[in-house]
Amino acid sequence: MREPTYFILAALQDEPLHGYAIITRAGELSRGRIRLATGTLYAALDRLTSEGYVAPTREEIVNGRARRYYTLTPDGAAALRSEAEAMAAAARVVTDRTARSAAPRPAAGLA
Amino acid sequence: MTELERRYASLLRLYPAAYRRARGAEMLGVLMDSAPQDRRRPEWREVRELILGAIRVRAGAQGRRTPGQSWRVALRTAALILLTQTAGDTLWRMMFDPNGESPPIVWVAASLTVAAACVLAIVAVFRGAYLAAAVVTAGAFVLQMAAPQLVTLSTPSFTYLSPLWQLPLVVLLLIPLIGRGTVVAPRALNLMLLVPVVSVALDAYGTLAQDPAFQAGSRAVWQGLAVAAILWSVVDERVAMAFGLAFLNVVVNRAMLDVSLGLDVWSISSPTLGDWSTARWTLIDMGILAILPILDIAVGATVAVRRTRI
Repeated sequence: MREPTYFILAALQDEPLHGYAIITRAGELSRGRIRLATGTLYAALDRLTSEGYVAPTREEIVNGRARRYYTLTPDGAAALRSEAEAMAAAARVVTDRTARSAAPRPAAGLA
Repeated sequence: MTELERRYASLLRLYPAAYRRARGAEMLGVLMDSAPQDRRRPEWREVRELILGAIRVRAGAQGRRTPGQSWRVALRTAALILLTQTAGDTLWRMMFDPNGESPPIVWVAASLTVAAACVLAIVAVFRGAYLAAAVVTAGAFVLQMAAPQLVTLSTPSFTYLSPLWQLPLVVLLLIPLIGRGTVVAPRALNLMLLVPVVSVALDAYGTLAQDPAFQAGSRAVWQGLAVAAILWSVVDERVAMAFGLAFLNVVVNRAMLDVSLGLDVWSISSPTLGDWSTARWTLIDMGILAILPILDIAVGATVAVRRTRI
Protein backbone atom coordinates (compact mmCIF):
# COMPACT_ATOMS: atom_id res chain seq x y z
CA MET A 1 0.00 0.00 0.00
CA ARG A 2 1.32 3.47 -0.93
CA GLU A 3 1.87 5.85 1.99
CA PRO A 4 -0.67 8.48 0.82
CA THR A 5 -3.29 5.71 0.43
CA TYR A 6 -2.56 4.46 3.94
CA PHE A 7 -3.14 7.90 5.44
CA ILE A 8 -6.28 8.50 3.35
CA LEU A 9 -7.77 5.28 4.76
CA ALA A 10 -6.53 6.19 8.24
CA ALA A 11 -8.21 9.60 7.94
CA LEU A 12 -11.55 7.88 7.36
CA GLN A 13 -11.33 5.56 10.37
CA ASP A 14 -13.48 7.64 12.70
CA GLU A 15 -16.10 9.20 10.45
CA PRO A 16 -16.97 9.91 6.81
CA LEU A 17 -15.10 12.96 5.48
CA HIS A 18 -15.24 15.16 2.37
CA GLY A 19 -12.22 15.71 0.10
CA TYR A 20 -10.73 18.76 1.78
CA ALA A 21 -11.23 17.23 5.25
CA ILE A 22 -9.41 14.05 4.09
CA ILE A 23 -6.43 16.16 2.94
CA THR A 24 -6.33 18.01 6.26
CA ARG A 25 -6.76 14.88 8.42
CA ALA A 26 -4.17 12.87 6.44
CA GLY A 27 -1.73 15.76 6.91
CA GLU A 28 -2.36 15.79 10.68
CA LEU A 29 -2.05 12.00 11.07
CA SER A 30 1.21 11.92 9.12
CA ARG A 31 2.53 14.92 11.11
CA GLY A 32 2.71 17.02 7.97
CA ARG A 33 4.60 14.47 5.86
CA ILE A 34 1.68 13.74 3.53
CA ARG A 35 0.51 16.86 1.71
CA LEU A 36 -2.00 15.58 -0.81
CA ALA A 37 -2.62 17.53 -4.01
CA THR A 38 -6.24 17.44 -5.16
CA GLY A 39 -5.34 15.47 -8.32
CA THR A 40 -3.49 12.89 -6.21
CA LEU A 41 -6.39 12.60 -3.75
CA TYR A 42 -8.97 11.94 -6.44
CA ALA A 43 -6.75 9.45 -8.30
CA ALA A 44 -6.41 7.59 -4.98
CA LEU A 45 -10.14 7.85 -4.24
CA ASP A 46 -10.87 6.41 -7.73
CA ARG A 47 -8.61 3.43 -7.00
CA LEU A 48 -9.99 2.93 -3.49
CA THR A 49 -13.60 3.18 -4.68
CA SER A 50 -13.07 0.67 -7.48
CA GLU A 51 -11.39 -1.74 -5.01
CA GLY A 52 -14.35 -1.34 -2.64
CA TYR A 53 -12.22 0.10 0.19
CA VAL A 54 -14.02 3.44 0.22
CA ALA A 55 -17.57 4.42 -0.71
CA PRO A 56 -19.24 7.80 -1.24
CA THR A 57 -21.99 8.43 1.29
CA ARG A 58 -23.69 11.80 0.91
CA GLU A 59 -23.34 15.11 -0.92
CA GLU A 60 -23.98 18.65 0.22
CA ILE A 61 -23.43 22.22 -0.95
CA VAL A 62 -21.51 24.48 1.46
CA ASN A 63 -20.92 28.13 0.53
CA GLY A 64 -21.85 27.27 -3.04
CA ARG A 65 -19.26 24.48 -3.24
CA ALA A 66 -20.08 20.82 -3.79
CA ARG A 67 -18.90 18.36 -1.16
CA ARG A 68 -19.08 14.59 -1.28
CA TYR A 69 -18.40 12.52 1.80
CA TYR A 70 -16.48 9.24 1.73
CA THR A 71 -16.61 6.42 4.23
CA LEU A 72 -14.33 3.48 4.98
CA THR A 73 -15.93 0.13 4.03
CA PRO A 74 -15.34 -3.07 6.07
CA ASP A 75 -12.92 -4.24 3.32
CA GLY A 76 -11.08 -0.93 3.54
CA ALA A 77 -10.87 -1.18 7.33
CA ALA A 78 -9.51 -4.73 7.07
CA ALA A 79 -6.90 -3.70 4.48
CA LEU A 80 -5.84 -0.75 6.66
CA ARG A 81 -5.54 -2.95 9.77
CA SER A 82 -3.57 -5.58 7.86
CA GLU A 83 -1.16 -2.94 6.55
CA ALA A 84 -0.76 -1.42 10.03
CA GLU A 85 -0.03 -4.85 11.55
CA ALA A 86 2.54 -5.60 8.85
CA MET A 87 4.27 -2.27 9.49
CA ALA A 88 4.14 -2.80 13.28
CA ALA A 89 5.68 -6.28 12.89
CA ALA A 90 8.41 -4.81 10.68
CA ALA A 91 9.04 -2.07 13.26
CA ARG A 92 9.28 -4.63 16.08
CA VAL A 93 12.19 -6.30 14.31
CA VAL A 94 14.19 -3.17 15.12
CA THR A 95 12.56 -1.84 18.30
CA ASP A 96 12.68 -5.21 20.15
CA ARG A 97 16.37 -5.59 19.32
CA THR A 98 17.07 -2.03 20.48
CA ALA A 99 15.20 -2.70 23.75
CA ARG A 100 17.14 -5.96 24.33
CA SER A 101 20.50 -4.31 23.75
CA ALA A 102 19.55 -1.44 26.09
CA ALA A 103 18.55 -3.81 28.96
CA PRO A 104 21.31 -4.40 31.64
CA ARG A 105 23.16 -7.69 31.05
CA PRO A 106 23.74 -10.09 33.97
CA ALA A 107 27.28 -9.90 35.25
CA ALA A 108 29.56 -12.63 33.92
CA GLY A 109 30.29 -15.57 36.27
CA LEU A 110 27.22 -15.09 38.52
CA ALA A 111 25.14 -17.80 36.85
CA MET B 1 -16.31 33.23 -9.76
CA THR B 2 -12.86 34.46 -8.70
CA GLU B 3 -9.80 34.54 -10.95
CA LEU B 4 -8.31 31.52 -9.15
CA GLU B 5 -11.55 29.56 -9.45
CA ARG B 6 -11.69 30.32 -13.18
CA ARG B 7 -8.13 29.10 -13.65
CA TYR B 8 -8.75 25.88 -11.74
CA ALA B 9 -11.98 25.35 -13.70
CA SER B 10 -10.10 25.67 -16.98
CA LEU B 11 -7.51 23.14 -15.75
CA LEU B 12 -10.31 20.72 -14.85
CA ARG B 13 -11.50 20.95 -18.45
CA LEU B 14 -8.48 18.78 -19.31
CA TYR B 15 -10.40 15.83 -17.85
CA PRO B 16 -12.94 14.02 -20.09
CA ALA B 17 -16.48 15.41 -19.91
CA ALA B 18 -17.90 12.31 -18.18
CA TYR B 19 -15.25 12.49 -15.46
CA ARG B 20 -15.86 16.22 -15.05
CA ARG B 21 -19.58 15.64 -14.60
CA ALA B 22 -18.93 13.07 -11.89
CA ARG B 23 -16.07 14.82 -10.04
CA GLY B 24 -15.56 18.33 -11.45
CA ALA B 25 -17.62 20.44 -9.03
CA GLU B 26 -16.34 18.47 -6.04
CA MET B 27 -12.68 18.79 -7.12
CA LEU B 28 -13.09 22.50 -7.74
CA GLY B 29 -14.50 22.83 -4.22
CA VAL B 30 -11.48 21.03 -2.73
CA LEU B 31 -9.03 23.12 -4.80
CA MET B 32 -10.66 26.32 -3.57
CA ASP B 33 -10.89 25.12 0.04
CA SER B 34 -7.17 24.22 -0.05
CA ALA B 35 -6.08 27.60 -1.42
CA PRO B 36 -5.16 30.50 0.90
CA GLN B 37 -7.46 33.54 0.67
CA ASP B 38 -4.89 35.73 -1.08
CA ARG B 39 -3.84 33.19 -3.74
CA ARG B 40 -4.61 34.29 -7.30
CA ARG B 41 -2.69 31.74 -9.35
CA PRO B 42 -2.99 27.93 -9.07
CA GLU B 43 -0.31 26.22 -7.01
CA TRP B 44 2.29 24.44 -9.19
CA ARG B 45 1.96 21.02 -7.51
CA GLU B 46 -1.83 21.18 -7.95
CA VAL B 47 -1.39 22.08 -11.64
CA ARG B 48 1.10 19.24 -12.17
CA GLU B 49 -1.12 16.61 -10.52
CA LEU B 50 -4.26 17.83 -12.31
CA ILE B 51 -2.53 17.63 -15.72
CA LEU B 52 -1.08 14.21 -14.96
CA GLY B 53 -4.40 12.96 -13.60
CA ALA B 54 -6.29 14.22 -16.65
CA ILE B 55 -3.81 12.59 -19.06
CA ARG B 56 -4.08 9.29 -17.16
CA VAL B 57 -7.88 9.34 -17.30
CA ARG B 58 -7.87 10.22 -21.01
CA ALA B 59 -5.31 7.47 -21.72
CA GLY B 60 -7.40 4.94 -19.76
CA ALA B 61 -4.38 4.40 -17.52
CA GLN B 62 -5.89 5.27 -14.14
CA GLY B 63 -6.57 2.65 -11.51
CA ARG B 64 -4.78 -0.36 -10.11
CA ARG B 65 -3.63 -3.31 -12.24
CA THR B 66 -1.47 -6.35 -11.72
CA PRO B 67 1.80 -6.85 -13.66
CA GLY B 68 0.09 -9.80 -15.40
CA GLN B 69 -2.66 -7.52 -16.70
CA SER B 70 -0.09 -4.98 -17.90
CA TRP B 71 1.93 -7.68 -19.68
CA ARG B 72 -1.14 -9.04 -21.46
CA VAL B 73 -2.10 -5.59 -22.75
CA ALA B 74 1.51 -5.00 -23.85
CA LEU B 75 1.73 -8.37 -25.66
CA ARG B 76 -1.56 -7.73 -27.47
CA THR B 77 -0.54 -4.21 -28.50
CA ALA B 78 2.93 -5.30 -29.65
CA ALA B 79 1.38 -8.09 -31.77
CA LEU B 80 -1.00 -5.56 -33.38
CA ILE B 81 1.87 -3.16 -34.13
CA LEU B 82 3.93 -5.88 -35.83
CA LEU B 83 0.98 -7.22 -37.82
CA THR B 84 0.22 -3.69 -39.08
CA GLN B 85 3.89 -3.17 -39.92
CA THR B 86 4.10 -6.48 -41.81
CA ALA B 87 0.89 -5.84 -43.78
CA GLY B 88 2.15 -2.40 -44.86
CA ASP B 89 5.68 -3.59 -45.60
CA THR B 90 4.48 -6.53 -47.67
CA LEU B 91 2.20 -4.33 -49.77
CA TRP B 92 4.75 -1.71 -50.76
CA ARG B 93 7.60 -4.18 -51.25
CA MET B 94 5.33 -6.16 -53.56
CA MET B 95 5.17 -3.18 -55.90
CA PHE B 96 8.84 -2.34 -55.73
CA ASP B 97 11.47 -3.84 -57.97
CA PRO B 98 14.97 -2.34 -57.95
CA ASN B 99 15.28 -2.90 -61.72
CA GLY B 100 11.93 -1.32 -62.51
CA GLU B 101 10.40 -4.55 -63.82
CA SER B 102 6.82 -5.55 -63.08
CA PRO B 103 6.67 -8.12 -60.29
CA PRO B 104 5.56 -11.66 -61.33
CA ILE B 105 1.87 -12.39 -60.75
CA VAL B 106 2.65 -15.26 -58.35
CA TRP B 107 4.73 -12.87 -56.26
CA VAL B 108 1.89 -10.33 -56.22
CA ALA B 109 -0.65 -13.01 -55.25
CA ALA B 110 1.56 -14.30 -52.44
CA SER B 111 2.20 -10.80 -51.12
CA LEU B 112 -1.49 -9.90 -51.19
CA THR B 113 -2.33 -13.13 -49.35
CA VAL B 114 0.27 -12.39 -46.66
CA ALA B 115 -1.07 -8.84 -46.23
CA ALA B 116 -4.68 -10.11 -46.09
CA ALA B 117 -3.68 -12.73 -43.51
CA CYS B 118 -2.11 -9.98 -41.38
CA VAL B 119 -5.34 -7.95 -41.56
CA LEU B 120 -7.34 -11.07 -40.64
CA ALA B 121 -5.02 -11.69 -37.68
CA ILE B 122 -5.47 -8.05 -36.56
CA VAL B 123 -9.25 -8.51 -36.59
CA ALA B 124 -8.89 -11.78 -34.64
CA VAL B 125 -6.71 -10.06 -32.01
CA PHE B 126 -9.26 -7.26 -31.62
CA ARG B 127 -11.95 -9.92 -31.10
CA GLY B 128 -9.85 -11.79 -28.53
CA ALA B 129 -9.40 -14.87 -30.77
CA TYR B 130 -5.66 -15.19 -30.08
CA LEU B 131 -5.31 -18.83 -31.14
CA ALA B 132 -6.92 -18.08 -34.52
CA ALA B 133 -4.68 -15.01 -34.89
CA ALA B 134 -1.56 -17.08 -34.12
CA VAL B 135 -2.55 -19.81 -36.61
CA VAL B 136 -3.26 -17.28 -39.39
CA THR B 137 0.03 -15.47 -38.63
CA ALA B 138 1.97 -18.74 -38.75
CA GLY B 139 0.33 -19.53 -42.10
CA ALA B 140 1.30 -16.11 -43.45
CA PHE B 141 4.89 -16.72 -42.34
CA VAL B 142 5.04 -20.07 -44.16
CA LEU B 143 3.81 -18.34 -47.31
CA GLN B 144 6.34 -15.54 -46.81
CA MET B 145 9.11 -18.16 -46.61
CA ALA B 146 7.82 -20.08 -49.62
CA ALA B 147 7.13 -17.11 -51.91
CA PRO B 148 10.75 -16.50 -53.01
CA GLN B 149 10.98 -20.17 -54.04
CA LEU B 150 7.93 -19.82 -56.28
CA VAL B 151 9.31 -17.05 -58.47
CA THR B 152 12.61 -15.83 -59.80
CA LEU B 153 13.03 -12.21 -58.90
CA SER B 154 15.36 -10.02 -60.88
CA THR B 155 17.24 -9.26 -57.66
CA PRO B 156 17.16 -12.37 -55.46
CA SER B 157 18.83 -10.67 -52.48
CA PHE B 158 15.94 -8.22 -52.40
CA THR B 159 13.80 -10.81 -50.63
CA TYR B 160 16.18 -10.60 -47.68
CA LEU B 161 15.22 -6.98 -47.23
CA SER B 162 11.68 -8.01 -46.29
CA PRO B 163 11.05 -7.97 -42.55
CA LEU B 164 10.65 -11.73 -42.66
CA TRP B 165 10.98 -12.56 -38.96
CA GLN B 166 8.29 -10.25 -37.59
CA LEU B 167 5.56 -12.85 -37.97
CA PRO B 168 7.23 -15.58 -35.84
CA LEU B 169 7.71 -12.87 -33.19
CA VAL B 170 3.97 -12.10 -33.40
CA VAL B 171 3.17 -15.78 -32.82
CA LEU B 172 5.46 -15.79 -29.76
CA LEU B 173 3.73 -12.65 -28.44
CA LEU B 174 0.26 -14.19 -28.91
CA ILE B 175 0.99 -17.56 -27.27
CA PRO B 176 0.82 -16.27 -23.65
CA LEU B 177 -2.61 -14.73 -24.41
CA ILE B 178 -4.23 -17.96 -25.61
CA GLY B 179 -6.87 -19.41 -23.30
CA ARG B 180 -6.78 -16.54 -20.80
CA GLY B 181 -9.83 -14.60 -21.96
CA THR B 182 -10.03 -11.37 -23.90
CA VAL B 183 -7.53 -8.70 -22.93
CA VAL B 184 -9.23 -5.46 -21.98
CA ALA B 185 -7.07 -2.65 -23.32
CA PRO B 186 -7.82 1.08 -23.31
CA ARG B 187 -8.76 2.47 -26.72
CA ALA B 188 -6.03 5.08 -26.49
CA LEU B 189 -3.42 2.32 -26.88
CA ASN B 190 -4.76 1.61 -30.38
CA LEU B 191 -3.20 4.94 -31.38
CA MET B 192 0.12 3.08 -31.22
CA LEU B 193 -0.85 1.44 -34.51
CA LEU B 194 -0.08 4.79 -36.16
CA VAL B 195 3.61 4.13 -35.47
CA PRO B 196 4.00 1.29 -38.02
CA VAL B 197 1.80 3.19 -40.49
CA VAL B 198 4.08 6.26 -40.38
CA SER B 199 7.22 4.12 -40.30
CA VAL B 200 6.16 2.05 -43.33
CA ALA B 201 5.10 5.17 -45.24
CA LEU B 202 8.51 6.82 -44.67
CA ASP B 203 10.35 3.62 -45.53
CA ALA B 204 8.34 3.08 -48.72
CA TYR B 205 8.63 6.67 -49.89
CA GLY B 206 12.36 6.73 -49.09
CA THR B 207 12.98 3.58 -51.13
CA LEU B 208 10.76 4.53 -54.07
CA ALA B 209 12.12 8.08 -54.21
CA GLN B 210 15.63 6.74 -53.52
CA ASP B 211 15.99 9.25 -50.72
CA PRO B 212 17.72 7.65 -47.73
CA ALA B 213 16.64 10.55 -45.51
CA PHE B 214 13.13 9.09 -45.35
CA GLN B 215 14.44 5.64 -44.40
CA ALA B 216 16.51 7.30 -41.70
CA GLY B 217 13.28 9.08 -40.69
CA SER B 218 11.55 5.71 -40.34
CA ARG B 219 14.29 4.51 -37.98
CA ALA B 220 14.15 7.83 -36.12
CA VAL B 221 10.40 7.37 -35.59
CA TRP B 222 11.02 4.08 -33.80
CA GLN B 223 14.00 5.31 -31.83
CA GLY B 224 12.41 8.61 -30.85
CA LEU B 225 9.19 6.97 -29.80
CA ALA B 226 11.08 4.28 -27.87
CA VAL B 227 12.61 7.06 -25.76
CA ALA B 228 9.26 8.87 -25.49
CA ALA B 229 7.60 5.62 -24.38
CA ILE B 230 10.02 5.39 -21.44
CA LEU B 231 9.02 8.92 -20.35
CA TRP B 232 5.34 8.07 -20.92
CA SER B 233 5.64 5.35 -18.24
CA VAL B 234 4.74 8.08 -15.76
CA VAL B 235 1.29 7.95 -17.38
CA ASP B 236 1.03 4.38 -18.70
CA GLU B 237 3.80 1.82 -18.41
CA ARG B 238 2.12 -0.53 -20.89
CA VAL B 239 3.12 1.73 -23.79
CA ALA B 240 6.83 1.25 -23.02
CA MET B 241 6.36 -2.51 -22.57
CA ALA B 242 4.45 -2.83 -25.87
CA PHE B 243 6.89 -0.62 -27.72
CA GLY B 244 9.89 -2.53 -26.39
CA LEU B 245 8.37 -5.89 -27.37
CA ALA B 246 7.49 -4.65 -30.86
CA PHE B 247 10.88 -2.97 -31.29
CA LEU B 248 12.57 -6.32 -30.64
CA ASN B 249 11.67 -7.16 -34.24
CA VAL B 250 14.51 -4.90 -35.39
CA VAL B 251 16.99 -7.00 -33.41
CA VAL B 252 15.46 -10.30 -34.55
CA ASN B 253 15.39 -9.24 -38.20
CA ARG B 254 18.95 -7.96 -38.02
CA ALA B 255 20.17 -11.23 -36.49
CA MET B 256 18.32 -13.39 -39.00
CA LEU B 257 19.46 -11.20 -41.90
CA ASP B 258 23.07 -11.74 -40.84
CA VAL B 259 22.49 -15.46 -40.52
CA SER B 260 20.77 -15.66 -43.92
CA LEU B 261 23.58 -13.71 -45.57
CA GLY B 262 25.94 -16.35 -44.27
CA LEU B 263 27.80 -14.41 -41.62
CA ASP B 264 29.27 -16.65 -38.97
CA VAL B 265 27.58 -14.87 -36.11
CA TRP B 266 26.99 -17.72 -33.76
CA SER B 267 30.33 -19.56 -33.79
CA ILE B 268 32.23 -17.03 -31.75
CA SER B 269 34.02 -19.70 -29.71
CA SER B 270 35.98 -21.02 -32.69
CA PRO B 271 36.12 -18.25 -35.21
CA THR B 272 38.50 -17.92 -38.08
CA LEU B 273 40.29 -14.60 -38.09
CA GLY B 274 38.04 -12.96 -40.71
CA ASP B 275 34.79 -14.28 -39.31
CA TRP B 276 35.72 -13.17 -35.83
CA SER B 277 35.89 -9.56 -36.91
CA THR B 278 32.58 -9.68 -38.78
CA ALA B 279 30.84 -11.59 -36.01
CA ARG B 280 32.13 -9.29 -33.33
CA TRP B 281 30.91 -6.15 -35.06
CA THR B 282 27.59 -7.76 -35.88
CA LEU B 283 27.05 -8.67 -32.24
CA ILE B 284 28.05 -5.18 -31.11
CA ASP B 285 25.64 -3.73 -33.66
CA MET B 286 22.84 -6.00 -32.43
CA GLY B 287 23.68 -5.11 -28.83
CA ILE B 288 23.29 -1.40 -29.62
CA LEU B 289 20.02 -2.12 -31.44
CA ALA B 290 18.75 -4.07 -28.43
CA ILE B 291 19.47 -1.32 -25.88
CA LEU B 292 16.33 0.73 -26.49
CA PRO B 293 13.79 -2.14 -26.63
CA ILE B 294 15.27 -3.75 -23.52
CA LEU B 295 15.27 -0.40 -21.71
CA ASP B 296 11.62 0.10 -22.69
CA ILE B 297 10.64 -3.34 -21.42
CA ALA B 298 12.68 -3.00 -18.21
CA VAL B 299 11.30 0.44 -17.29
CA GLY B 300 7.73 -0.58 -18.17
CA ALA B 301 7.94 -3.83 -16.19
CA THR B 302 9.39 -2.03 -13.15
CA VAL B 303 6.60 0.56 -13.15
CA ALA B 304 4.04 -2.25 -13.67
CA VAL B 305 5.19 -3.89 -10.43
CA ARG B 306 4.82 -0.57 -8.60
CA ARG B 307 1.32 -0.08 -10.00
CA THR B 308 0.17 -3.18 -8.10
CA ARG B 309 0.30 -1.19 -4.86
CA ILE B 310 -3.02 0.48 -4.16
